[in-house]
Amino acid sequence: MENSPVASVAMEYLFKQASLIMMVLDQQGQVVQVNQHTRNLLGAEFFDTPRTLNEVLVDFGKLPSLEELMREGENPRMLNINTAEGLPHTYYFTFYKSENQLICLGQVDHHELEMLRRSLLESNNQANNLTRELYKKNTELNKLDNLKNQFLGMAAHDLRNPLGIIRQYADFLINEMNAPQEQDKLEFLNRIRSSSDYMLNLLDDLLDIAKIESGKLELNLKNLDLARLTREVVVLNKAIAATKNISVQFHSFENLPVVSVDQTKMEQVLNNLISNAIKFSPAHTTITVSVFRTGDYLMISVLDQGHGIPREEIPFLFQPYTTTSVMSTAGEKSTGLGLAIVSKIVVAHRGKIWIKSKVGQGSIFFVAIPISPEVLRRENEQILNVNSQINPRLGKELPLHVAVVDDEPEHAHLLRDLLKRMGYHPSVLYSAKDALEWFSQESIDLVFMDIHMPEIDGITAAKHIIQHHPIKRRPKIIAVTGYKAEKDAYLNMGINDYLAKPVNPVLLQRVIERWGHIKARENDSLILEQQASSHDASLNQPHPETTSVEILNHKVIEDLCQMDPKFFNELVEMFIEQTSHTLNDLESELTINLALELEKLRGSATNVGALAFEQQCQSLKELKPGTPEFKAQLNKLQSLFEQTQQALKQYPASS
Amino acid sequence: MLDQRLYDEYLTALLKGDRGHCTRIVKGLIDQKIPIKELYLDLFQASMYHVGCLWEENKISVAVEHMATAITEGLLNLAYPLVFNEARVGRSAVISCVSKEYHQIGAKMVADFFELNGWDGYFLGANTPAEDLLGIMQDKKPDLLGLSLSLYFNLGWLKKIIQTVQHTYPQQDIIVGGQGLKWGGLEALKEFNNVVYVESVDQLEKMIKG
Repeated sequence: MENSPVASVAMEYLFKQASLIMMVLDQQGQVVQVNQHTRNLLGAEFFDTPRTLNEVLVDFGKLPSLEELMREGENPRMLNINTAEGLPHTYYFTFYKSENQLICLGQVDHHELEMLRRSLLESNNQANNLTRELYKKNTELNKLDNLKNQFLGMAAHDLRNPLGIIRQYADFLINEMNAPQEQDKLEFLNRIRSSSDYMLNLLDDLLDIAKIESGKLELNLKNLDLARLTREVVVLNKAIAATKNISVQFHSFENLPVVSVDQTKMEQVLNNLISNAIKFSPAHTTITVSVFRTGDYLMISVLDQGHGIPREEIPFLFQPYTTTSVMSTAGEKSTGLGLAIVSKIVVAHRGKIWIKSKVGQGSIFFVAIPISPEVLRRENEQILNVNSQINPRLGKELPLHVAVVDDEPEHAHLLRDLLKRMGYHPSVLYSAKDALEWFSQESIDLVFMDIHMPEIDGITAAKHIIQHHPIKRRPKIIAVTGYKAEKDAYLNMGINDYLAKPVNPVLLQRVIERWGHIKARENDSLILEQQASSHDASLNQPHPETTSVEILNHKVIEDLCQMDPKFFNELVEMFIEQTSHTLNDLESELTINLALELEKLRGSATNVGALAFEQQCQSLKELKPGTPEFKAQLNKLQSLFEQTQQALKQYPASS
Repeated sequence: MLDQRLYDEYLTALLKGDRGHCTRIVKGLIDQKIPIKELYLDLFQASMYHVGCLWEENKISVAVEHMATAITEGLLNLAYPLVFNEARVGRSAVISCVSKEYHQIGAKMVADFFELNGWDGYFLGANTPAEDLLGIMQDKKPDLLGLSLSLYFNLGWLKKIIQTVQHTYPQQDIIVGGQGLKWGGLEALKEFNNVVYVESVDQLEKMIKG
């Protein structure tokens, strides 16, 4: 049989076609011959190098030795082999000894595979049935939800009209009742009216929620000056606040771009946030409403000095039908729907809303509304148009010590050359390690920090700089990165600004101007400080004229610092920047609307607790411009500004 | 409730591929209000570890192991409606298996433990491509990303995924775990910032609550 034609056909079949494993091993367990199926399983190149049986099998240290396998003779043994696709396969091996060689034959247990197939089919059936069931239930739930919203809307509508009538007639009666002997009745009527008012509010909220949840929140978008709108809402709320002895301050930054919003809905948002702040603020506190820009967003912040909201309640704040444990200060009722509606409206504008709060100190709500893409595009076009207008004298006008940190020489050199064209002589460092060493010896004003570097990355380096340098002596850190996604995270951790790669020359120039001016002022104040400390200590005494008024309202500042040091730092930076700008204009008599400018100054001074400065702004407003008295008071304002800056230094919220 | 006798009965049924019997046992335990953690760890995890050992010792085939996996995964669905009972804490985690892996039970249970602790746990199935993972992260902005590795030889893929994620989200906190890291590989993860190895469910829960 051995040399028969049948045997040779069978051998050829085994080696070329059969779906089973066949390997011939020598006495050392080395594979000397292998069939096509095995080659296919283990990959074309696997047997290009000499292999042992152990390399073919999956080994968890529990494999029997070659001798053991040979002793077992023809009893099949279950073993797993590694396959080229990564997943191991199980085969039943039988070992045959022939002269000096060992023949291993392995086959699959078809019965077992069939069982697996059946089990998987069963799983698949089950999963498919479940999916169908879920789809059906989802559809039913959607229908029910729609029904609920319809019902809610209908009920609210049908309740609203009769309620309006009740309220109106109560009003008539109240107006017609004058006689003092009817005092009791008047009180009843007042209760009827205030209860109807509350129910009307509740119904309005329910209608809003129903509309929003049924996906019928339609926005009538128009380009609007959000700062103006906010100011109007603040003015309307001032009267209500005044009845509770609460003051509402407003301040916004200049040249804010318009945003595309639904005016009525936005008013609702602002009204809700501000009236909430009033509701939860005790008497003799201040609510500060600000409008400013961060990156591609316009931000509105509403800061109060109320009770604050416990941390564990914050996640539920924007969910419908939730109220917090915090009590309103004059027993005002709330429906638990207001903030849910606000948040839905903000989200519908593609915006964000969030809150920071500290129990006992107050809360600050932030609303961020995206600046419309056309506005951003126009800004970018302007940037491109003035691309050729790089100021080669910037380095002379605004001398700064600038450093570039980037591990990739091409990037570092490009940035260096751009800076050179602006008249700077930057130091270039090719690793964060070198940079940190350099910064410990040299005082640097502005550092452009690449984020993705080997060993120490830019984030770690920035953290190090922030930790090891007091704020006034710290270089301003500009992250330079290809990934815009994380810019908020950078800014949150104390990095001052960011530039996207490839660096746009005009944006670069803007960043230098923005932070260079601030840094230059910090450096000046450091020099003043050093001079002051080397002079007689009496020079540090407050200005005789101002002894009557405290320079700073420390209570306000401490509260702010504790609640959100970063935000306070921003406010201070903004105050300094805006004030020095406006004071220059005032001195050179460039200001057109003087009263407005002074009011703005006063507003931003209030934000940072600059008490004396704020009051001086107020007294200046009452004087006639151009008179000697005005000039004298303006000088006083100037000196108060310096004193305020000096005094604010004790609050470097540098955490 | 769950004693050695019941466990052995379950394991035998599981190895025989007797889905019906396994289902009856689990339904019985759920009816008796077995704590989910006990069901997951003492029944599902213990039996699947047992199955894994039997396979490593060449006592059962890949086919039997796959069958046991398929049955266990189906049984997880029975408990799934119960994991949402806790009040939400407003935090979220995305849990994903490393691409090229088909073992998803462990990662699924981890996602459920997040739910049990009031987090929103988003589970991405086995063999999730990196782009899909980034997409879901963009969408959900999770507080934590959990990556599961079942097979040590896929460590390279795990590293690649961490690199990809950190490329876009350098500050993302990441936890890794799974049987694939039982045999080492932790050294290789030391090069990453913000990556923490979580060895057990107890450690995970401590982390979630902490």
